[in-house]
Amino acid sequence: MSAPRPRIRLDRNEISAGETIEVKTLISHTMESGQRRGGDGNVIPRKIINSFSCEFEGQVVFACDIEPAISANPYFQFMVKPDRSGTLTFKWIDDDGTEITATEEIVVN
Amino acid sequence: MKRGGRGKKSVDGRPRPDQQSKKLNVFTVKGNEREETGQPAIGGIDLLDETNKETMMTFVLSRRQALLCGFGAATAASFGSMSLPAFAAANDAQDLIDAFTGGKTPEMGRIMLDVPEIAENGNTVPMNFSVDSPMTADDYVAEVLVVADANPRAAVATFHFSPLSGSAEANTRIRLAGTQNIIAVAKMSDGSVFMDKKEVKVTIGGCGG
Repeated sequence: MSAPRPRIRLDRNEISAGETIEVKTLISHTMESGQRRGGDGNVIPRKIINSFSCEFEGQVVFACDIEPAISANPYFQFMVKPDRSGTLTFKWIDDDGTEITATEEIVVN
Repeated sequence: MKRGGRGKKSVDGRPRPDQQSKKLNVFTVKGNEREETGQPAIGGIDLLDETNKETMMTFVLSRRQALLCGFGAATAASFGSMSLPAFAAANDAQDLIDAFTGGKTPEMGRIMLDVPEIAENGNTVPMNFSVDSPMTADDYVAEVLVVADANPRAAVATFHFSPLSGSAEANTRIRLAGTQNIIAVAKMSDGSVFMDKKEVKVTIGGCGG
């Protein structure tokens, strides 16, 4: 499978001070829970994204410790309220250590 | 499962628009007005009357309809006066909550958990919560733990917030193995803990069967 590509949607990139931005993130990943059995009867081993974080200028704004009970293609929607212009950095970490990152620029007037 | 004297094979699987409520009359044990008035219990239709034969046939349920019907009955029963049996979590839900709260008992309130009453697909159940908090540097929601009390493992996720969140809310999709309670516990910056609990009825389990 090719490396999963995250999709990020902000309801707006430019805000006035004091406003919040709604963030939606989606990444393709099977999120194999470790509960399923394959055709041969053996348990398919767990392989999930176990961590998602959103940082603003190096400070964690929102993060999630993810368990196998999160559905495949993990989707998160949350709010951020940056106090100045800067970069939002999103990071997903797989069980095997792989990290996927993406960024979004925010302008605060 | 009661099938009555009429059941053999379904002749016509076509559901009638008002089938649901009529099916419940077959499978629920609740009192039925029509029984009391002396009319037949099946949807008030006189099944001994030949002209109602076609109607009668539609009540001969296919297995799938019977399954759905059983579910419908259970739903109706719980919506009605029959209370759900109380049950302790079958998994490590309580241990996770205790570890998260440091042994404190969370108060109900301040966090609102929003989940569907009925989830058609246990593989992807939308879950939303929001916490009533000013989210200032002095008073904000630090973490929210979400557990499911009848999944193979209770832990669903732990969310971390900060004053820069603006609002302590999140929306995601979760897997539920079957009908169970979702419990969300919010821990504030001052250590106080609050919770909400909601039941989700799941028709098709989402943990790979």
